[in-house]
Amino acid sequence: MKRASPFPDVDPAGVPLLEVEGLSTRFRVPGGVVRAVEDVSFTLHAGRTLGIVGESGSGKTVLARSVMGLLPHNADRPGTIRYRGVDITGWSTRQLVGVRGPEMAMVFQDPMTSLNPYMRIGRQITESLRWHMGLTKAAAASRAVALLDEVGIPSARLRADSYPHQLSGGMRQRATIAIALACSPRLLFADEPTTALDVTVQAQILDLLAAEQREREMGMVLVSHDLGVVAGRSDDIVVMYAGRVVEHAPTRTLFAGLRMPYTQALLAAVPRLDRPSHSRAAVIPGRPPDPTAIDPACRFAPRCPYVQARCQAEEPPLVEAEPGHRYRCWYPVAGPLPRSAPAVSPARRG
Amino acid sequence: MRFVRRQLLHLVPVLFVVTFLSFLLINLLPGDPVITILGPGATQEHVTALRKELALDEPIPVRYVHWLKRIATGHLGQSYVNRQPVLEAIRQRLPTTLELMILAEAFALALAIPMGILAARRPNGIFDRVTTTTAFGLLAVPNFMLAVVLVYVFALHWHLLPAEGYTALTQNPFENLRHLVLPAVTLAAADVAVYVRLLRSEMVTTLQQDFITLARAKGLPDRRILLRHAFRPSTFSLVTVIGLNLGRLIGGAFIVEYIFALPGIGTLTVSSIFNRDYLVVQGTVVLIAVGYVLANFLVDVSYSFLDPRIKDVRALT
Amino acid sequence: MLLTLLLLVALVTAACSSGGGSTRGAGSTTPTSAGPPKSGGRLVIGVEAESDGFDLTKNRPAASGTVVFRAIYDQLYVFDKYDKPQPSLATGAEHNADFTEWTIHVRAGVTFQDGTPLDAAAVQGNIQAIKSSALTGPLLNPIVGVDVVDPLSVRVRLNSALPAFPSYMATALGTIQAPAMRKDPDSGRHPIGTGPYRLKSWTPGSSLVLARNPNYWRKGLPYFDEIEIRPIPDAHSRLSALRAGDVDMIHTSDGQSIADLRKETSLQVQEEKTGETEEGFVMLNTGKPPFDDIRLRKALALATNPQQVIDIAGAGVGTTADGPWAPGSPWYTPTGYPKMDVAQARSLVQQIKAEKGAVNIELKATADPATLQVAQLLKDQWSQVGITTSIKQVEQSQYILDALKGDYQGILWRQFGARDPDLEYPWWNSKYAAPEGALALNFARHASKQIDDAQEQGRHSDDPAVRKAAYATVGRVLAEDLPYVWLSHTVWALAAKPDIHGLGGGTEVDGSAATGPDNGSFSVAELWRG
Repeated sequence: MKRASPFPDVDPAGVPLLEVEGLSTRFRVPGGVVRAVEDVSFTLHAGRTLGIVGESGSGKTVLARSVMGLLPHNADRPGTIRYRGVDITGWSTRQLVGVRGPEMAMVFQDPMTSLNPYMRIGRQITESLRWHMGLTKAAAASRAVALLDEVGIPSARLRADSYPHQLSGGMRQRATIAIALACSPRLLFADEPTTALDVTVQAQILDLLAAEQREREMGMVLVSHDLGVVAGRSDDIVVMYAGRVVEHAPTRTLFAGLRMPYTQALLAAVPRLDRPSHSRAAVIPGRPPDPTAIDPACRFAPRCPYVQARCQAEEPPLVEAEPGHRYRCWYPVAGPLPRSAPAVSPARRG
Repeated sequence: MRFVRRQLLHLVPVLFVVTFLSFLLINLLPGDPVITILGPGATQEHVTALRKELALDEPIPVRYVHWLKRIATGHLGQSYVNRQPVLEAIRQRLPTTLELMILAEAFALALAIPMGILAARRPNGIFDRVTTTTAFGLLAVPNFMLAVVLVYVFALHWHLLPAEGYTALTQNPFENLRHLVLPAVTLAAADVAVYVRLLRSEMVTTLQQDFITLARAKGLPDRRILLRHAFRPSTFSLVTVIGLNLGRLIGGAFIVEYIFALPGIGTLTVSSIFNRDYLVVQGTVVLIAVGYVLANFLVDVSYSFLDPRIKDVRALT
Repeated sequence: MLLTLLLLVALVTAACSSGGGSTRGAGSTTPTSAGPPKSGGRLVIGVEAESDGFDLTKNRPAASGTVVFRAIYDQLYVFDKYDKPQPSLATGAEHNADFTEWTIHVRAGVTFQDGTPLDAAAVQGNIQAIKSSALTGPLLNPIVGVDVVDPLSVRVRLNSALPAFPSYMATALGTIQAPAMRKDPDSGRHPIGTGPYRLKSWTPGSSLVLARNPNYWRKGLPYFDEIEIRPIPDAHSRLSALRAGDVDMIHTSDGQSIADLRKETSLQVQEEKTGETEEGFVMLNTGKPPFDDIRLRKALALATNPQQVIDIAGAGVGTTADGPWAPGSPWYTPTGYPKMDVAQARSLVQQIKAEKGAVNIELKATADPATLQVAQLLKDQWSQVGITTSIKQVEQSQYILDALKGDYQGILWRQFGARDPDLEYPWWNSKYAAPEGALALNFARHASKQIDDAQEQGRHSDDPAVRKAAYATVGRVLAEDLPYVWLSHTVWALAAKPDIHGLGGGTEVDGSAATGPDNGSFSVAELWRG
């Protein structure tokens, strides 16, 4: 028996799938407060993909988890999250249990750690099927095999009985995708879904996600440190730095005229097929600031090649360059891309 | 199977080392079984004769070899003091000790597992702090103290349970249980404290794992996540320590056995040491060594039940 | 706890004692006035220690074991309440003019629990076995031979006059074991006697069950069908077991337990207040420095406050001692033992200091807390007069050996509970003293011609007045020479549920009142519930 959903069966027209307004996420730690996410807003419609890009530590993963309520006990989360028109910000864990799975799901960065190593793959799928959809043991089992098959796992029946360590990395990530898709969610968070994988299987996994999204008309939030990954597979892009949105635009618009020096640096750091793949963040000199520090300056100033006096005195607000394109910089870069323009075409998405 | 064989092979050197050391040590202790047996009124001739009869006149290594030879044929010898065969003495007392051990560990786990899980659910929350304080409190109470308090409350005040003594399981299972409740609780108290802390800290670590976040992302309720996903991976230290405790308890819990007048291995060992009843001591040492190795073996086996990865690694070797 | 291993002493004192104790019963009815004894039922007794076996020639019973010995076996004689040996398995005995030959007549119609009849040959073999045992032999030193005179009479030949021979036979030495036991290598676990109970089962450390001997020669006895004896070594647990109703009866010599029992109203308590008891004392090695100096022994005696030791370490239970006999014993006479005098002690110590320098002594004690507490108290008392004491803990089995070898200066000890003073012969006689290193039963290495002479006189005379005077001399010399600094008479107590009767002691064969409990041991034949 399917559990009662708190959401209408048919969404009223024009209501976005997900609206996030002024969301901040803070962790109380000994010695201060870590401001992991500061004042983030965005909107995502069904069937669309939002890319969230930033270095590690920029708050993108926390942002995704904040929306699903997957935060530790020491977290505060002011702001508003509306899902299918319903404000779910203040919902308790008990209420969110009904949201996670059939409404929202998540694919994690490393399938090695995100799969429960002590449980057979099949079991990890069937348990949510049985819990949320009320399927019988047998029905859940055959559904699990079908899901594994759907995500491209060969001899799925056999694999359902395997433990995660008995699978290859790519297969494991396919399995986590199967887990995420099990209850047919309307919104999928893919948190760096390919970072831990071999280059050769990265594209396969991304294609699989894209295909599933199309087929199921899911909304997807694709989180990556790699602007190149997001570029071809998203409708909108949010660039985050030190917990803040520093640039936010439709993908095409962004690549047509990015304004934020950090976005520019990220773009320059995109690994390219003609260069050996290695650590990306090293390309941008310096490190992100201490997330506990409160400093009335532009967060990127210490690493910005264009830094000026004002950048160190005042934090720039998020301003609009054109409708739908916002950025956070006193001295935005403009016009054509620098020499190291990406090899990836921003308009590849079909 | 190969794994079992390897474990059994471990036993052999362990037994050699342990029994030789115990043989050496107890023989080096001052005191003399012959004087203990004969008392101060014994004449020199009687002492010499008994010494010869018990083969105590030979050098320690020779006696050890004799003992080994006898062991090899399955004879543990007999007590100098009451002539009881060592095997019989152990057989009479082992059930008490095993029962006490199993019951104590069962009590400890029955209490520690829910407490540890609940404490880990919200680290530094009220329940966690209360259990931490309680755990340290329990650890700080010496078990003879606890025994006295328990006896006072349950035996003398409420007359619910006997204050001491033992009834064999085969004789009367209900009475047997009644007699073992207080000693087992006494023994369990300190273990509860240790187990709660171990389980809690491992649970806290496990709960930070990605696969737990994934389980939460799947929309599973807390209870299911704690029990189905987090508990099993968090039991490794617990299982290890339980194994060590079992090994230790096979040697008996002398103080508890003494206070509750339980005929267990602990009192047998200690009184034999005091009486310099060498062969009985050796017998219990063999038992304890075998117990330790067996407990360790069980722990190792349970690892592969707990973690499927270990089983696969073992299968490869 | 102190020296429970010194079982030989217990062996000699194990028989019967004079007099009873004081009984307090619950409520207004005293247990002794509860009508005729009822037969049947089961009694559970908590005792302080496990025994190693029940063959007198192989095992040495302490108080707990003696309870079992007296249930399984009978002795040729038992003491009555006046400390006189009365015939039991014997019907009587005659001696020659100089007390060097004793002819003992054995009761007819008695059979052992294995069906063997009791006869002269059985008694002869039994005495010979006891005589040749390493454990008991030295105590029957005077015996040179045993002959069968007729089917129910044996003649015992002695190497010297022994008027007190029946008294010897009223101790455990008079125990008669079945002939079959002498051929059984495992006889300690398979005792066969003529006594009121036979051993039904024994699980060492757990429980020993005695079943009524249906063919017991004293008709109508015993009363209980079955008696279970459970060792509960911890005194507190033993008392708890009684209070909780797990056991019907216990014995204890633990001061705190007795103090608690005195306040108890729902249990009956029987303290051994009269009769001979063991004494707790500090034994001094007079055979070597520093205690070869009588002044130091005297200083120690004068500096010691035994009442404080009793009050603090013994919960106020126990009475101060001035010699080896308790005031309740017929052998007691005041000894003139010095009273506490700190000033005099201090001046003695000053004298010694002037001659030999600082006074440092070593006191050995067992490692159990009660004994250590006594040692600590004494150390404090002695420091008041300028004596520095170092306490050395020694483990039980080494402890006896140290005393035997004289490897000590001062040592805490408990002994001298024998019913007849002649049974204490070796402990004080100079023949049994030896230099340090050699084994000696005269542990204190105290040699005194006066004591030797008095002991001979006591041994060879049959005149009670002469004997009493002789042992009064022994007590006086000990008080003068001070090989022992007396602390207290040990108090034993029996405690039982109110419906248990017969704690005060049973009857003799002729129906007269028999002895009461003796140093923690007691006869179970005439206990009953009702």
